[in-house]
Amino acid sequence: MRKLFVVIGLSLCCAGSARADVADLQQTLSDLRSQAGDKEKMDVLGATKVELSQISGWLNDATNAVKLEAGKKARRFFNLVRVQIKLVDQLVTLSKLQQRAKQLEDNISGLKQQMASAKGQLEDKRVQIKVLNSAKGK
Amino acid sequence: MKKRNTTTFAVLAATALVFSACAHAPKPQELIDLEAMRSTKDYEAAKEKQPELSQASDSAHKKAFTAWEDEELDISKHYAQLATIKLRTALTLISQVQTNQRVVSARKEFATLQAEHGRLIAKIGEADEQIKLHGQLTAARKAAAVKEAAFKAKLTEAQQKQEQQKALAAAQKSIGDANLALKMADTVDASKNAKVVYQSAVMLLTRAQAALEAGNASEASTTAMLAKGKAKAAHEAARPKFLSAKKDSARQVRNQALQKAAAGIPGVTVKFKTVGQTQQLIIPVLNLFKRRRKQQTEIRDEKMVTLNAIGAVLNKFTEYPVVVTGHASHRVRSRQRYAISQTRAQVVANHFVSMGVKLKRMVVAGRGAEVLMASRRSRDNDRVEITLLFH
Repeated sequence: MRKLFVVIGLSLCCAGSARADVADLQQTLSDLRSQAGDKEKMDVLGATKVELSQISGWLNDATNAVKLEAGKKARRFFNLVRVQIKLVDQLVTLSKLQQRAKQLEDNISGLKQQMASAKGQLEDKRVQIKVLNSAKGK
Repeated sequence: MKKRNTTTFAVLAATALVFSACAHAPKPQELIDLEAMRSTKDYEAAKEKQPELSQASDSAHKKAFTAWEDEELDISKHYAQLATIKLRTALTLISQVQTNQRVVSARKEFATLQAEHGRLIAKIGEADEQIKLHGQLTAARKAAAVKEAAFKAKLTEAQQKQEQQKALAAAQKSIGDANLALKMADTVDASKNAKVVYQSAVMLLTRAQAALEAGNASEASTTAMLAKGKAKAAHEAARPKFLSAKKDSARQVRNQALQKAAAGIPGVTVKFKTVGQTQQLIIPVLNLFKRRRKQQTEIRDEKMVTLNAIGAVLNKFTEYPVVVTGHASHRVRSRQRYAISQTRAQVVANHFVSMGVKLKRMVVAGRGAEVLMASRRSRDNDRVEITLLFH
């Protein structure tokens, strides 16, 4: 009889613990989805579509795992998602930097073209001034 | 033989079973991809520049490999993915650093180029300004040239006007000269004494004045010069006639004055006589000398007044030649008559000389008793006649 009570008590404890674990997983899932959404918004250049797609896939897998109460499996996906979110952050930063660099390089290229044109203009004007000066001398 | 073959087959089958029992499951694709990544140069760079992430990736790779060896494929796949993400993150950070360097370098270059471009633009601006100034200078020069041309044109016009004025003034002066010459001609009565030439001069002068009024200075000047020449010629032609006439007139006046003066001499009766073209004004001074023989050539005192009056007339009319003629009556011895008459004339002449009459004007002569003006023995014949000659 005593053994029975112990078994029932342990079962109840385990059941309570499992319910708390599921809620925790769902909360984590929700947080990660929110973070993933934020990252998707941040990625205005669309540089991390593949990574975000992977995150989405892993979150779906995690959702299934939570439904199946496979906490360990779900946490593995959560871990992947967290690390991937960091990667996405860095990739977004990199893409912005690259865009900035490209913009600057484009600007440099444009400026060089403008300078070449300006040099040509200046040379033309110098020739014109020389002609005018010689005409003035006459 | 058949038994031997069967044995060999059994051995081979057993060996295959043993090998198949010991063989691993195929590597997950994620692990294969990870290992491919790790074999690149990027991985070496990640190890050097991002050691923490590289180590984390290495650790995950080991776990993936171990799990694969333990045939826990899900775990292996999970760790392979984790290692891949870590490695990619490391490579991304490296790329970020490189890109950042690119950005910094590009910014510097851009700033340098911008500064250089600014200088170029400034130089172009300066060149534009120079060109603009040249343009303004050229425009100013053109305007100045136009003004100068206009000024020159005005100046030329003014000079032409001035020259025309000068020419007109010269013509006017010529006309004035011609007028003067004509007036000069008038002074010698050229209109009468050189009528043709004078008329010609007047006509030319009229023409010159008409030309001047018409503004034809050249013609006016030329015609006026011709008129002047004609006027001068008229003057020259008329002058002798005029002078002659004038002289005659003056002489007549003078003669009249002489006659009047002579008429005023007391104690004498003046006579006029014409001999050819010459007229004679004869002033006989009768009974002039004393009666005594020895005093026959001495002038009577009472006659001195008369002689003085005659001498005054002679001094007044200096241009008339004078003939002093002495006469004698028959009372004087005949052989002495000429001498005495001569002496008498001389005495009177001397008296005149003493009054200032020039001797060279006078002709002194004694006529004896040749010309009597009363009875032979009348003392009136003892006289002296002062004759003034004139035309």
